[in-house]
Amino acid sequence: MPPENAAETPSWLTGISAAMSSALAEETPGERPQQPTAEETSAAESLPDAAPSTEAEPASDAVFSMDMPDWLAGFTPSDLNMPPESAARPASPAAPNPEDISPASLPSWVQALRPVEAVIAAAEEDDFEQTVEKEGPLAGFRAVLPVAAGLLKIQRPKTYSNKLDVDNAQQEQVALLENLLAAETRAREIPPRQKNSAERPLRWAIAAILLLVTLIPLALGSRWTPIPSLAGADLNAFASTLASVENGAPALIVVDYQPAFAGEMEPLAQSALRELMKKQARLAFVSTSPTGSLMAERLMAQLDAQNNYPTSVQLGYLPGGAAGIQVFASDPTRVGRGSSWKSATLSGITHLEDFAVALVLTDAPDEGRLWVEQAAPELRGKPLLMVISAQAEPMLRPYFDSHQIQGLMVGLNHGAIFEQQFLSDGPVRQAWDSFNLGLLVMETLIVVGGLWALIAAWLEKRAAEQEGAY
Amino acid sequence: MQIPTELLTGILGFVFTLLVFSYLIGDNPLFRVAVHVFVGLSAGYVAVVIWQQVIINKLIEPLINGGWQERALLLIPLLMSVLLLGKLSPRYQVWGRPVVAYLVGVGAAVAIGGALMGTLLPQAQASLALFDLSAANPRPLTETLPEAVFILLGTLSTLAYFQFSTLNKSGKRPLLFSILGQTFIAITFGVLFAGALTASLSALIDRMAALVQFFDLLLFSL
Repeated sequence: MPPENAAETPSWLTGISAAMSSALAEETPGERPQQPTAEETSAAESLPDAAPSTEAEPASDAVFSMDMPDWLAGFTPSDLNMPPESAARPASPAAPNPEDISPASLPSWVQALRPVEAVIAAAEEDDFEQTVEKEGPLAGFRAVLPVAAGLLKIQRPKTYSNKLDVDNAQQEQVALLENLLAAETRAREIPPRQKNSAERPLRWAIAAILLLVTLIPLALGSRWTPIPSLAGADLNAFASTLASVENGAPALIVVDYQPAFAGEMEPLAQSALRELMKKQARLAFVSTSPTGSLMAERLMAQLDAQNNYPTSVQLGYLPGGAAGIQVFASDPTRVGRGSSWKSATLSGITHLEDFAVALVLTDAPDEGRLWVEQAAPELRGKPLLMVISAQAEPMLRPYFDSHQIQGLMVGLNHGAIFEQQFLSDGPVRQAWDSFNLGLLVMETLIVVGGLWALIAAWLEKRAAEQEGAY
Repeated sequence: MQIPTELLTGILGFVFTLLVFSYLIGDNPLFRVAVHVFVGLSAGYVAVVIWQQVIINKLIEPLINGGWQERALLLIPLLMSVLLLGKLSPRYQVWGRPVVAYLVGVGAAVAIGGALMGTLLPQAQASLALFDLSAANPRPLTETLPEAVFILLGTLSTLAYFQFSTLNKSGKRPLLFSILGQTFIAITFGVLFAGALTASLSALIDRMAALVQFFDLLLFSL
């Protein structure tokens, strides 16, 4: 305070000034505060005048100590267990000592998430020293706010997309492929079937017609329809090949039809085997179906009820499908019991070509095809004949046309023609009328049904057109 | 009183025929009983045949009575059979995989080889032989040539119907040729259906004949 203002000072303030002067006189030179730096000076200049100075704080203590009550006057900072410096500076905004603060221990995953340090370090090296404040109270200072300077340069780490870089054409192709695959696995929706009230009576009527048509000729024992005399090339070849078999020659009989088709296959097989038995052929039965052995025994029981035929042998079931047939064709002696091959029926037979003829009885086109593919080459010119069901003919006839099969007997039609050459009233002849009448009725029903469907569709379309016209 | 075997089998055949025919009124328990009996009998018979004719005759009996060489060779299928039984258990099904792989490989090799050498090449050769103009062809050309052209047309048009290629320049498929192939396929299916129908009619006649014989036997026995 300048002395020229002392006259205007009130009396209560004068006492305080004297006390402050004595207190200042008691301070040692080492305790005096240092002169402010240039920065502090400039900062102080910018502050208002009413701001209290830190230099006056010890004096203030002295001042307040005078007016303290008696009970408080005895206290010193040491009595408060406070360090003298902290007691002297209770609320200093100065930075704490860095040595007293232990560094924070961040988890590794947190450190991995902080790319800031690396970016700041790079930014500090490059730009921190060059940053100069241009406005505000810090204008003209260089590198005052290092953190802000670094943070302004922060950039997010470059991210890489995990999506494939595909163009529109590739995406369209992918979509097309996905649609194709989805369409393959999607079940086709079947429209609900419309129930027709006349369906069940119609079914009963058709069943009754078929039953009657097949039953009446059998019950009456009729012989109304004649048996055709003309045979095709396949049946002629079959008959001539069978006739050319020498007396006592070995014949391989493959019984590969299911019991369900015995009604069709047995009359045909009986006709063919009867001719072979007339020549005392040595018959060896084999089958790739487990039920084939049973059907072979049943067949022989029908032909030789008294079991007087001396030269027939059952080689049994041939497992393995195509592989089993190939094994049998390459070495027939590996099939069946050893005692069978020592019998008189199979004496002298070691290869498939030792058989004079191979006769396959089958109702399935696949079974016949396997015998053609696997066994026919091993016959080495010996005839392969087939007695087949009518349902297998379309698939097996090409093998006759390509001369891989030397003769065919197909269904009851061929059976009747073949049988009448040797028997006047065989089992096929007994069923011939029922067969013909049944075929005629079925063909008629198919034609009538087809016409009815056409007429119904036409009527429905016409009705729809009339509804549209209205 | 002794029942003749023929009469007993005739009664059983008559009863089961009626049970099967009951399907005409729709699916019913009588029809199912007949089907289950047939399936059970077939499975039992097949099991007995395989046990006797395959396992006993081809494996166990040679192992007991065969020579040392035969026994040694039979150890391989025996081991493979045991490993194949591992397929029954989810835990040990790995053991059966090599056996299944062996079976599938052998089966595929035999089937493909047979189809190639026994069907594809001979059928192609036979089709080509129809165009044979030499004197070695026993049939006259006026007979074989229409047949050859017909087969060629049917084969190519059927393949054209099943082709799944891109459209031509006009954006359309060769429609006429495809329709021709479709016609050939339809005729083929018709022939197959006619064959199946004929075989079914033969089976029906056989059943009717069995019923007639049964009633003949029944009347004569009375």
